Amino acid sequence: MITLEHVSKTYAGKEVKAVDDLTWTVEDGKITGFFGPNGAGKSTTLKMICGVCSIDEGTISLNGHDIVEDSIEAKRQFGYVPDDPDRFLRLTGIEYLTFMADVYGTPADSRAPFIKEYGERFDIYDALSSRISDYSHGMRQKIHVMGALIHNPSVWILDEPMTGLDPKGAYELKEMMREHAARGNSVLFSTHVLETADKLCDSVCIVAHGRKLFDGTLDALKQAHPSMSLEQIFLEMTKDE
Amino acid sequence: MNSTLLLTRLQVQELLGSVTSKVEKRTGSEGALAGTILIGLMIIGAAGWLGYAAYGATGGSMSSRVMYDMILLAVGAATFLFSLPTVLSSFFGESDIYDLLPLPVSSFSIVFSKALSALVASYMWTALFAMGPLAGWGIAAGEGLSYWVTYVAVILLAPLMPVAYSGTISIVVASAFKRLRRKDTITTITTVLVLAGSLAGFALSRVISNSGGLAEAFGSMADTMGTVVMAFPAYGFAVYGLQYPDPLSVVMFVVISVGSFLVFVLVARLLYLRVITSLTAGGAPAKAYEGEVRASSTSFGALVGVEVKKIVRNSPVLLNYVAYPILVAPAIMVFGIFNGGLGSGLLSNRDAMGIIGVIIYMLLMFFLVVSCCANRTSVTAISRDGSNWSHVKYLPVPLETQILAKTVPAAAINALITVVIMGVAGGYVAVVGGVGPVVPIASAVIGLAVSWLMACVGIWYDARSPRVDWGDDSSVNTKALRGGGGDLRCLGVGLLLMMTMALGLPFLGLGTTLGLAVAAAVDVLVAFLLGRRLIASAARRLAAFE
Ligand SMILES: Nc1ncnc2c1ncn2[C@@H]1O[C@H](COP(=O)(O)OP(=O)(O)O)[C@@H](O)[C@H]1O
Ligand SMILES: [Mg+2]
Repeated sequence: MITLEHVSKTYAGKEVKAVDDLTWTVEDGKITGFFGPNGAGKSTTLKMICGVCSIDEGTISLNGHDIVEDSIEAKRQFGYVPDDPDRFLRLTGIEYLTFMADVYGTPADSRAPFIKEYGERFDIYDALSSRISDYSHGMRQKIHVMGALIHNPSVWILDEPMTGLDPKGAYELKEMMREHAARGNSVLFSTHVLETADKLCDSVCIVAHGRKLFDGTLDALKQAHPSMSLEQIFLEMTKDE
Repeated sequence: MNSTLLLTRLQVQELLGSVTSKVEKRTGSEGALAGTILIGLMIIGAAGWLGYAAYGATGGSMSSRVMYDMILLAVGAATFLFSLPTVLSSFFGESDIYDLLPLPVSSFSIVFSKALSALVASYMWTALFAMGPLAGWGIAAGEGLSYWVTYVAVILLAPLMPVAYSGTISIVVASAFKRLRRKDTITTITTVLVLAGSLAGFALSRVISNSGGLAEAFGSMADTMGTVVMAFPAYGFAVYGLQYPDPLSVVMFVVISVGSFLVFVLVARLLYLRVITSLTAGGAPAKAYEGEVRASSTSFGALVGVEVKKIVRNSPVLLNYVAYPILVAPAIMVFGIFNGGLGSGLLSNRDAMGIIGVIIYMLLMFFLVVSCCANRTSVTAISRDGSNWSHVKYLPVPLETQILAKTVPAAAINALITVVIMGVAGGYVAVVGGVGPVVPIASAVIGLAVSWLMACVGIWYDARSPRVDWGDDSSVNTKALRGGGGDLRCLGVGLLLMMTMALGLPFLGLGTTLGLAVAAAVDVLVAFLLGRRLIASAARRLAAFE
C-alpha cells in the first residue's frame, strides 16, 4: 500500500509545480493505473515515492514506512522499474540480476527458479550472459522488470513499462502484473496509452499539470461519463487543464 | 564548410554548456568555477616563476637553447602521450557519432569537428609546461619582440603536431584492426601498441645517445633532446625562432604545425567513417546463458563488484583513470633511476647531505605518488553513472555505504600506485642510501594514508553536484575523462598534507626516523577520521542532489 498526503513538488528553477497537492492511496491486491499526458508529473510522483526526488510538501509512506523518515525500510517494500532502461549497461543480464538479488538479500536458492521462469517468459533467458549494452530497448525493459521483481516486493512500481515491448512481452508483463496483484500485492504503473488500461486496471488515477483529476475504479469513471469512450473521457478531462 | 562550423560550434557549446548551466543552476558553483580557474592560474604563475628563477640560477651556465628544447620536449611528449586517450575517446568512445551520422553533414565536417575537440582538450599541456616557463624565462632574459611573437605562435599552435601524430597513428592502427569489430577491444589494442611503440622508440634513442655515468648523461642531454625535438620538426623551428629574430622559422613552425594537423584530418576523413560504421559496442562476444547462478554476497560486496566492472569494462575509463596513472609513475621512476637523474645524485652525496638527501628524494617520490593519486576514478565516480545515477536513491542501501563502495575501488587504485612507487623508491633508498627500514615503511604508510584521503576528497567533491550530463554507463565524454577540475582539488589536498609533513617534521625535534614514524601514525589517524567525515558529508550532499 502506498499513501500520499498533500504531496507537492517544484523543480529547482521552475515556476510551476510538477506535482500539486496530491493525496492518493494505492491499495493492495489491485493494479492501479496512473494516467496523464506527457509532462503531467507522473514520473516525478513515482520518483518521489521511490526516494529519487525530494518531496517539497506532504508525506509518502509505503506499507506504513515513511520514505523520508524510515527510508531504508520503505525502500525494501518496493521494486521500481524506471522509465529509462539504459542502466547498468556494462553488466551482463545475469550479473545485473545477481547484483539486485544481493542488494536486497534474496536467498541464493530462490534465484535460479525465478530467473529461469521469468527469463523464459520474456524470451531473454539465452541472452542473460550478454552485456545489457547489447540488448534492444525492449530487452533492457524486460531485464529491469526482472531486477525489480527478483526480491518479490510487496509493492511494484513501473514507469511507462509498455514502451518498446513487443506484443508477447507486453502480454507477459500484463500477466505478471495480474499475478502479482492476485497475491495481495499492489501494482502501480504509469502510462499515457489508454488501451493498456481497459482490461488491466482495477483502479485509475488521472493527472494533468500535476493535479489529480480523477481517482477511482474504471467503472466509476465510465459511469460518470456515459456513452463516451475512454479516449474521449481522457481527452475531455485533460483538455483545458 | 558551413556544416563544419556548425558541428564545431556544437562541440564548443557542449564544452561550455555544462559550465554555464551549472553556474546558473546551483549556488556555489561560481565559487567552484572561480576556484578551478584560480588554481589553474596559480599553477601557471608558479611555473612562470620557475622559468624566471631558472634563468637567474643557470643563466650563465645553461644555454637558452637547452631550456627551450626541454620545455618543448615536455610539451610534445605530454601532449602526444595524453592526447592519445583523448583522440580515442573523441573518435571511438563518445556515442555522439551515432547522432551525427544520420544528419545531412559531410563526413569531413564530422571528422574535423572531432579532431578539433581532441585538440582543444590537449592545450592543457601547453598551458602547464610552456606558457609560464617560457614567459618567465623571456622576462628574465629581457627578450625582444621576435621572441614574444614566437612565444604567441608556440602557445597557440604547439599541440597541433603531437595531436596530429597520436591522432593519425591511432586512427591508422584502429583501422588496421577493424575486423575485430569491437570498439572496446580496438581502443585497448591501439593504446597499448602506440604506448609500447613510443616507449620503445624513446628507450632506443636513450640507448643510442647515452654512454654511461651521470656526468656524461647530463653532458649528452642537449644532444639527446636535440634528437627528440627533431621528432617534432615544427618544434625545431620554434626553438630557432625563440633564439634568433628569424621570421621565416616562425612561419615554418606555423606551416608545419597546421599542415600536420590537416594531414591528420585527411587521413581520418579517409579511414574513420569506414571503421566506425563497422564496429559494435562492448567487449568479447557472449555465449548463450547456461543457467549458472552465483552464490549471494553482501550488498556492500555487490556494490563494489559493480563499480569495479564499470571501470574494468570501460576501456576509455580504464586507460585514462587506471592504466595511465599506474604505468606513467614507474616509467618516470625507472627513467629517473637508470639514467642517473636526481635520485642517485642526491643519494650518492650522502656524506655531504646526510639523511636530508634521502628525505628530499622521498619527498620527490611522494610528489610522484600524490600526482598519480590525483586520478579521476573517485572524482567522477557518481558523474560517470550519467542517467543511471538515480539507482543510488532507490536501492535500499544507506547512501554512505554506497559512497564507500564507490570510493573503495578508487582507493585501491591509489594504494596500488603508492605501493609500486614507494616500494621501488623505498627499496632503492634502503639499498643505495643505506638507511634502515623505518624510513621507507613510514613513507609508504604516509603515502597510503594520503592516497586514501585523496580518494575521499574526490568523491566528496563529485557528490556535491555530479555532472550526470558527462555521459553514461556506455560512454563518457572528453570532459569526464579529464576529471573536471576535481582531480586538481585532490592534488591540492595531497600537496597540502605533504607540505604539512615536510614543514612539521623538523619542529617535532624527534630525529628523522622517529619523527617519520610519528608522522605516519598521525597521518593514518587523520586519514581515518577525516575520511569518515568526508564520506558522511558526501552522502549528505548526494541526498540533496536530484
Ligand atoms: N529534472 C527535472 N528538472 C526540471 N524539471 C523537470 C525535471 N523532470 C521533470 N521536470 C518537469 O516536471 C514536469 C513533470 O514531468 P514528468 O513527471 O516527467 O511528467 P510525465 O512523466 O508525466 O510525462 C514537466 O513539466 C517537466 O518539464
Ligand atoms: Mg514520464
